[in-house]
Amino acid sequence: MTISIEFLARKVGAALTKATGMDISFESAIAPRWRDGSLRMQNLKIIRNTETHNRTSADKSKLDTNFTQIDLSIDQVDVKLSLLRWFDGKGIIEECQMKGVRGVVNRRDVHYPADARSVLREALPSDFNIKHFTLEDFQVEILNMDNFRPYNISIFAAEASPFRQQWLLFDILNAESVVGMYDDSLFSIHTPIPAGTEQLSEQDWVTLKTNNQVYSSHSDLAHTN
Amino acid sequence: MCVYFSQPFLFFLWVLQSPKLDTAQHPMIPTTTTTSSICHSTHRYCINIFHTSISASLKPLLPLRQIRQSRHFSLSTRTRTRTNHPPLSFHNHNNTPQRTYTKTTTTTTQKQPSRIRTFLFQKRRNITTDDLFAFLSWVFLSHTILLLAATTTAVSAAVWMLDAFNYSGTSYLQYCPSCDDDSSVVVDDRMTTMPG
Repeated sequence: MTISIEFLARKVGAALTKATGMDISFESAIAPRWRDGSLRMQNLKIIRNTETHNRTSADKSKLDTNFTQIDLSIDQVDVKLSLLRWFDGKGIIEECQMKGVRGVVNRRDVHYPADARSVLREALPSDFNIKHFTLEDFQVEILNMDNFRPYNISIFAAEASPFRQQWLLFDILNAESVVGMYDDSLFSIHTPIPAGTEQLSEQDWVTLKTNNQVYSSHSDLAHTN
Repeated sequence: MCVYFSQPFLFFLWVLQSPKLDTAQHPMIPTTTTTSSICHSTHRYCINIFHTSISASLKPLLPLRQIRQSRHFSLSTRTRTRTNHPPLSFHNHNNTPQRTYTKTTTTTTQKQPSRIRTFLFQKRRNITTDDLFAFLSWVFLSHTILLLAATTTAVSAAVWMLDAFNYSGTSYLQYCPSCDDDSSVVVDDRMTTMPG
């Protein structure tokens, strides 16, 4: 087999598939971008369905459907890697920029047992811990459990630093800026910066983020249940 | 990046291109009249001067570099008759010829590695196992530092090299996730743009 850049892209996809239980494939090759100092992957497809999920499970006889199914396509992902962060247990991705996310998130088959309790998730060494995350042009359709009607979530632009898997909701609420639309109602999350501020240090951002503001307009009352 | 990519070329030049030893003589130079040489194997910088009696008709034919010696200063030790006092006159007290011919390598491709070697080794000698292991450890350490400090650049370099050496044509790969590794199909653009 010819060792080529597509071969590398396919192998990376296969490794990610094996590690995550999702089918991750690149339609185009991985391309270095010297000026930005990043690696660019284009036309990603991420699929997580019953077949891919149960491929990683040990018990083949029992078909598990109690999980969120994903079918996403991403136009462009730019990543910066850092081996030092990986040694720290923060994941190898240092910075990530995503553009053009479309797809469906299917939660129809998700169900909770009657005695379910909310527990704190335990952090894993494979969790991502991205220093700086940027998202543009995101729109997915959510198919809900308990026969709730499907709705769309759009994010026009988002910027979050850090962006951690263990503290995902916390980091979204603490993002520098998120502007989007949740079930046809505009929402925004942003860090208020006082007028006249020139340069902000990292500590200044931490202080300012405690006053993060979340706005939403015309939210549907059904979501408050 | 320059250091990274120059490593194989440096190694190639370093190993394959051995410098001419002091004792080697150019076939065109008569060996009978060599008078002064302060070059020794332990010297870092040395100038090897051969005083030769070459006939005037042969001089323009020699592909050798000419060095014009200073009038009031001579590097020759054997023929030195005065101290390092500043010159009282511009008379050539040493009776050394105004023009001497040095034995140098003839072309620039041979000259350059010789200088690199002289700079790296600090004296003229052959490559030992110690030198080879020092070089390999340098390569290993530089790669480790590159991977740690600039992971993206290192991966980019690897991807770029894969692309440069093995990527040809405009083919792309259609990856079938449910298929095995070897059953993926390579589709060529030229095939899809065929008329009809």
